[in-house]
Amino acid sequence: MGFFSKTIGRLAAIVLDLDYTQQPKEQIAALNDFLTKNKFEIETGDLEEFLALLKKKHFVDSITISKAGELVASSEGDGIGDSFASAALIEFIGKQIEDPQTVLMKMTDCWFMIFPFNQNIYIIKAGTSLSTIELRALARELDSFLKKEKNSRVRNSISAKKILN
Amino acid sequence: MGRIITIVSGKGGVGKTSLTANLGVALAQSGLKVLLVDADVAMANLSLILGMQSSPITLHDVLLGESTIGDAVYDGPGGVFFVPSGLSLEAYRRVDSERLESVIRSIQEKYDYILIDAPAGIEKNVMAAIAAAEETLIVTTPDSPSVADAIKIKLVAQRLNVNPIGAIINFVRNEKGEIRAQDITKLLELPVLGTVPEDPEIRRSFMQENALPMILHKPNSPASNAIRKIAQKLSGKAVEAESEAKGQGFFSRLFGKFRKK
Repeated sequence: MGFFSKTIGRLAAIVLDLDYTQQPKEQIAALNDFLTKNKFEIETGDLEEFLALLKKKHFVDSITISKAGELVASSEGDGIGDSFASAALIEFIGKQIEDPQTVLMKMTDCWFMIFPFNQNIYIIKAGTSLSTIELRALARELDSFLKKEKNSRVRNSISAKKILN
Repeated sequence: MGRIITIVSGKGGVGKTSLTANLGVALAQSGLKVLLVDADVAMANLSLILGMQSSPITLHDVLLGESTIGDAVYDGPGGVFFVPSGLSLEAYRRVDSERLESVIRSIQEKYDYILIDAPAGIEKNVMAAIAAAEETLIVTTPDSPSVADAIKIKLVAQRLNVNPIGAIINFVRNEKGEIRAQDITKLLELPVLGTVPEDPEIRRSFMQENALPMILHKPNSPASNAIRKIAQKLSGKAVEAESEAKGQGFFSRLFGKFRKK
């Protein structure tokens, strides 16, 4: 095509607003792929599995829950030390500062976050610090799972008693 | 109890703030009591679109604990109520956006709808705006960068346990290369509540001495009609199923050129 016809073509495209675009199929496929790798459907009744899925959903390395210094659950199995130390730390800080919401500690290679919520203390370890909003969302999810689990244990024990009677 | 919906987009420049203003006015025009909240504490723009840039008490003052939310509510155009964000950078540096949730929940029962205009991105202030609501509405344009960011913001909302209810596709030109509504539905796994055509009236509506949302400035423009339909869908009133817009033919494009001038 010569210079003249190219120029005429370009001019016509501008004047008539011709549509040269086309469906970005590869981009749509890449977005689909991204989506399948980031699904967060947590459908399990098993605490250990729930904690593992929650870690993935909230991009954290470990989750430990403590109540009055005692370990409630931990994604890493052994959380007794963390649980005891965090309860003591929160109690100490609570004596120095009124109503502390979150304790954040920057370690050499990770962040350590202590967050009291509904009488439990949540101890979260992650590569980066989480905002209180994110910590609360994580704690709420875990709290409602623990409540459900507790209710189902109570229901099971009631039905076991009925059977025995 | 009113519905609290945060309007999010992920990507900036998709017309989210303008859509929030117009959607709010459309809901108010159908007799609902609507409050618009500018939660973009860093880059407040909603007040400019509503033509209400000189409000003395703002969300900044409320989040700083220096005023109550009631003091920051103003009568806006078209029957909406409005809480502006301040333009001060100093106040922005001092505000605690995490207080937004308790502030908004404290006035939930006074309104049928509270629409929160969130900032773009996925940073802390965006999360605060999302967490303040019970539902989110995602605005995207029909191109891959915008849809990619819409997917990310949907995942953020899910992480915060806030329910995404649907998507709005803005600035639709019906070009062949645009990602179609059915593909966006599949990618976001959300219903598309409506598509809003690209309309120069949107920009013109705030390029006035007395800026007004487009739905008041040009109530019969194609974008205004589309937004009214979305408002009807959102408020649960029956709306005719929207057929997908057909591609424009040669002559309609040619004559459209002259009509625009």
